[in-house]
Amino acid sequence: MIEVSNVSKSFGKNAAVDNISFTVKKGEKLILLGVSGCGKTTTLKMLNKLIDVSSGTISIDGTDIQDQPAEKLRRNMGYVLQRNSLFPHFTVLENIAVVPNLLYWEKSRIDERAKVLLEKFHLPQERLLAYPKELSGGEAQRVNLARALAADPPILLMDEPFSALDTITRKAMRNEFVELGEFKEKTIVMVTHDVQEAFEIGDRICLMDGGKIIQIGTPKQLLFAPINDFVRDFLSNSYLQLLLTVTRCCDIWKFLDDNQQAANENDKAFSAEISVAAALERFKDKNDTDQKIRMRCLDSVKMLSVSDLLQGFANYKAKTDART
Amino acid sequence: MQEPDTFWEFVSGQWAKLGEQTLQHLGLTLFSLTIAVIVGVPLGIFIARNRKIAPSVLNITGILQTIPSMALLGFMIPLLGIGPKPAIFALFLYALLPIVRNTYIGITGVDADIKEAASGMGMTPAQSLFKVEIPLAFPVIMGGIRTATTINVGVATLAAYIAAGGLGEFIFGGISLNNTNMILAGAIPAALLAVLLDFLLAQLQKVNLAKVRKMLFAFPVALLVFSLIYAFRTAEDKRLLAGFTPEFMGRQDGFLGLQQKYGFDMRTVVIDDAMMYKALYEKKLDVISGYSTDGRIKAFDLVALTDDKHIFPPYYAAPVVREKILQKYPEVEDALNLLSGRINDSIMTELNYKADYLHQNPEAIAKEFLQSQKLWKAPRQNPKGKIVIGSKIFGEQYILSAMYAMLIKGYTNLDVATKTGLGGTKICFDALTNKQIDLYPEYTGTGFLVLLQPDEKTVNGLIKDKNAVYDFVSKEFRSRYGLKWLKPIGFNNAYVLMMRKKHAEELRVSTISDLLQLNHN
Repeated sequence: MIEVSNVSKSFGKNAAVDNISFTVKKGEKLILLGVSGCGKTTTLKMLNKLIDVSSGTISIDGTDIQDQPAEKLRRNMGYVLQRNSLFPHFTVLENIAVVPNLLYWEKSRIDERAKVLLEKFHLPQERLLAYPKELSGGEAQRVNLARALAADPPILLMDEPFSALDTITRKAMRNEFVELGEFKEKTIVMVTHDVQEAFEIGDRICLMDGGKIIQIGTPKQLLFAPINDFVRDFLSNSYLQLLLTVTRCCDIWKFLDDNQQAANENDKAFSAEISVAAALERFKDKNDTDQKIRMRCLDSVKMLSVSDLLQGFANYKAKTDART
Repeated sequence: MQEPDTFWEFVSGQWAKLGEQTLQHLGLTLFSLTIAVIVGVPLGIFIARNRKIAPSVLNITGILQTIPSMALLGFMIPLLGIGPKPAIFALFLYALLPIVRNTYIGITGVDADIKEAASGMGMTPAQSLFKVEIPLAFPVIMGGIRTATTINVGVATLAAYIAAGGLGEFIFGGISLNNTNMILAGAIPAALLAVLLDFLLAQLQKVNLAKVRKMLFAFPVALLVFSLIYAFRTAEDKRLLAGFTPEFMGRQDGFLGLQQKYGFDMRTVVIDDAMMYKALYEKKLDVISGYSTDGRIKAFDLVALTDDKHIFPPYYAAPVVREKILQKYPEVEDALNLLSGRINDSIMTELNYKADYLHQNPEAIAKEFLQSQKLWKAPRQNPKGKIVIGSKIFGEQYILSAMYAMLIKGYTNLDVATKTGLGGTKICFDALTNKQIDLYPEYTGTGFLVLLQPDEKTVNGLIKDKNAVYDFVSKEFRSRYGLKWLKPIGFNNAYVLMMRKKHAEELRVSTISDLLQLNHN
């Protein structure tokens, strides 16, 4: 568990971070969201002592990080940078081996771990001997993530890990990463300026501006109960998309039309725990009105088309708005 | 004229010397380079980590680079003496800038994200430096080392000026003796050495440092071993030491004659004329080759040793004039001959002392002398023609040409233009035969041995007799080139061996034979 209390950081006279406090529970994904210069990256780098705090305390699992050597602290925290920061003179394998080597792992154990990671990130094994310049942008970022996860650290710090990728690769990488077993176990603090990304990955979002925390809460809390106009305005541009992201198919289940007649037991059934936005992603061609997917919520299974989902979502929205 | 040797004949004749010079050259280059790497790379890393002091450190190394090599070597003599020590130190200073600068650029040029990734993953600053920053900066650092190597191979030729050996001995000897084969025998190996070393370092530059850590150690170790061998070879020696110019070393009427006639076997180093007197004065050398009328004999309180076996040919100065000019203006000959017999060795030494050491204006010295001899007359008005006087590029020649100019202006109705500072003998002589100049002061020995180059029999037959030499050059110059030697001025600016006066008195040495006797005991 990470506890940040009353932390400030100033560079000269400029306060980059101004008296912030928050906690991140074990296994939780916290997103530091905000525009450039809001202090989110500074906050992240204070967690692994790349930047020292000016005042306040940060403790991890009850120990003040000031009482630990920086190197030891960092070897137990994966760190993923914004741009491609693989060591160009090392192969993929050597890049992945950096932290395990610093922790004196045995070579066979490192090799084994590298193979497993490549498999998880859907990279062919022969890539282990490739140099970073031979990798595509997507592959490089996968290796970058694999490297951070190599020694299986309980905490992962990520600084805009997907921002260097093109929109399509970025979306695919994000989905892939969220699905990853390793991801689910980790305590993650991630910096981003992309609202959609924050909503998809974060359990909680910490919206910052001018070095201060404006609001911290779940995506739903930010969207439905913004504490001021800043938060409202920040989210307004992609409001509908965010709404589809925070609403799960389970939430709108009873508003969905059931087309039992087309049910086919052999089709794979998706869990309705996913967001409406994610469910819409499942349709290969969103213009094909006949295409349907099979979805399960608890014991009930429904065959749904794009229009079924949108219709159900509209009905649900109308109902909940009327209630409040 | 003697048929000159071919380049290959020269090289095969000098094989042992060439090998030794090449080894010395390599030793100087690599030794200085090793020290420069040992100092420069850590310094570059240090200023990369402390950027505030970087500009001042880079400026200082930059200024060192701009000091002319000869000047730097000159500064070194009082501090480090002569020989390899000052040469290596000077080369070290020259190699420093490219190495420090490239290390600084290489280390600071490593992507900030890469460095952040290294420390963010838990590397200590030292681990980050050795595993990430140095390997990534390695090609740039090697680039600096390559530049330094090429510079050093070039500058190391100048080491010959301060008795540190190397291929410069052939190069500068060849230049003084107008011997192209000798120049090439030094220049070609030096160029090959530069290309070879650069090629080897280029191979090293391509190496992925993270992969071959062993080689990283092998390289400096090899350099160090080589350097140590070199250092042992040049260990201190208490015996008397002679320092001769590259020209003297290559001349029959110089070092070669000393070996043949006297059995000269003293410990000998090659050194530049400009450094030689100072080194003798500073007691870094005990014997040097020089000229009998050099002003520095007086300035440094030196004594010339008697050439008791007469190996140094006479070098009596006289004006050499184009005959066409004498036919056109016969009065010129009388004017020039006014100086004949007026200046002996000690007077010339005195005049040279004023020019070279007291830095008086050659024209003022000339005028003062002519006035003291009651020869000076004010220039005549309305000249009806013009004479062009040339001179070689040293004080004595400046003074003589100034005197001739004054005599012609005062005693004839001719005007005078002077073209002083015509490099060496060859340049002056070519200017005269090509009618660029009408006359210049020349020495009988130079005309005899350098310009006429008669066969060995003629040389041996005439060399001891100053009149015979004068008659020979007069006759040959007239028939071959249409040039006339006028009457000798009087002094003999010949080669001599000299020592510090006090030292010679202490050792009771007055002739070259005495010196060698002493050396054998």
